[in-house]
Amino acid sequence: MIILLSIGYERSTDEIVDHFLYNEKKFIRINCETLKDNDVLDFNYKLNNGTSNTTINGKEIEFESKKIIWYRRLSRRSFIDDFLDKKFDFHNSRLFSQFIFKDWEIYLKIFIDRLSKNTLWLDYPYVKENKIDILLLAQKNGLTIPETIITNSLKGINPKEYITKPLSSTVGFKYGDKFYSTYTTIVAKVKHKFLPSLLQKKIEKRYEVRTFYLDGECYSMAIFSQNDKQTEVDFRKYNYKKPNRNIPYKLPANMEDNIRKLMNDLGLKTGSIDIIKGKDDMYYFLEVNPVGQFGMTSRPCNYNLEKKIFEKLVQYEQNF
Amino acid sequence: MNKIFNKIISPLSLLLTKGERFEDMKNTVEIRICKGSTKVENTEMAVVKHYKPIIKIEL
Repeated sequence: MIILLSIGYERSTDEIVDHFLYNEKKFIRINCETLKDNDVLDFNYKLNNGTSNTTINGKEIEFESKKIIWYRRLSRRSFIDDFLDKKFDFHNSRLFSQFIFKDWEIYLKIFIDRLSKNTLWLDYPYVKENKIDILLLAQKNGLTIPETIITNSLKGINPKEYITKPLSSTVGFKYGDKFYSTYTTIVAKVKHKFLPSLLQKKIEKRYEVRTFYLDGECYSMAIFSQNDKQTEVDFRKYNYKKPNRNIPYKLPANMEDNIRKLMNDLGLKTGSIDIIKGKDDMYYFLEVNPVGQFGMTSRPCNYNLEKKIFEKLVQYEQNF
Repeated sequence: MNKIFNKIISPLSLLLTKGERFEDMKNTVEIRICKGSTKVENTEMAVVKHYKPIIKIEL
């Protein structure tokens, strides 16, 4: 059985589903945000004897049977504050929301654990390593990383020579009539105190490379983001009027070998890897996002990664 | 935001974030909707049945 674990309205999942439909290959798609509704999910797990029954939209999920699961997304950002009435003040509505989200997260972990029996994951949703662990592992495996510091002080640092980005993942939020997003930013002197933060030496780049890794293969794309003020520090500050030029790219063989070793250490079969090619001709490894947005690499480079993922899942099922 | 940062110590990445006005962020995107999907609260769901129409929305 092949299961696609995703959410509704998810373009990459939809495109993979296209290949299943075209090839008339059976699959189950689970849109995780719908599992909150007991009209959709019927879940019953008895801890004492370890038995569990689960149906989703009336279809039984057999935990014991062999499964290949492609994991894409577990949740969609949602706001429940809008539903809370004015009897809640800010602090209590926050406690209320945190409790609901936390409990749901713990349930999802239980659900994933149950699904994991006799399962080959592509990939398991919970990666143990954080951004810093991954940088250290990358370095251990022969990849060059930028000079990286975690500090709560700019003493002895020329701010303009460094960038900062979150230790966790990027977040975007609305405040007043503006939208704020924690993109990679050049460091500047600040009046306020700040928490220990991730600083990296700014690399003068020739171009960026985004590599989608799929079970040993590297599908890379060069992004010419350095000539546009808007995208030169972080290409995700997309310039829609004049988009960056993206072309298929081949990394040197030793880079690809080192990436394979890193992904093996991380236990990942897929991931999107960010790399900078510096003006000094060095390749700098920045980070791996498990799964990642591979559509942005697939389309401009004609890699047809959605089809390759479909084929990989079918191949796994035949050999499992 | 400065008032907030006087009271709450945040990561540097957040401190240096500059907001963008919503009006400057408008963009038209295409999304695909699952055929046979049903509305649950504020999200669409579909377990197996698939999409087709491509609609354009303005964010």
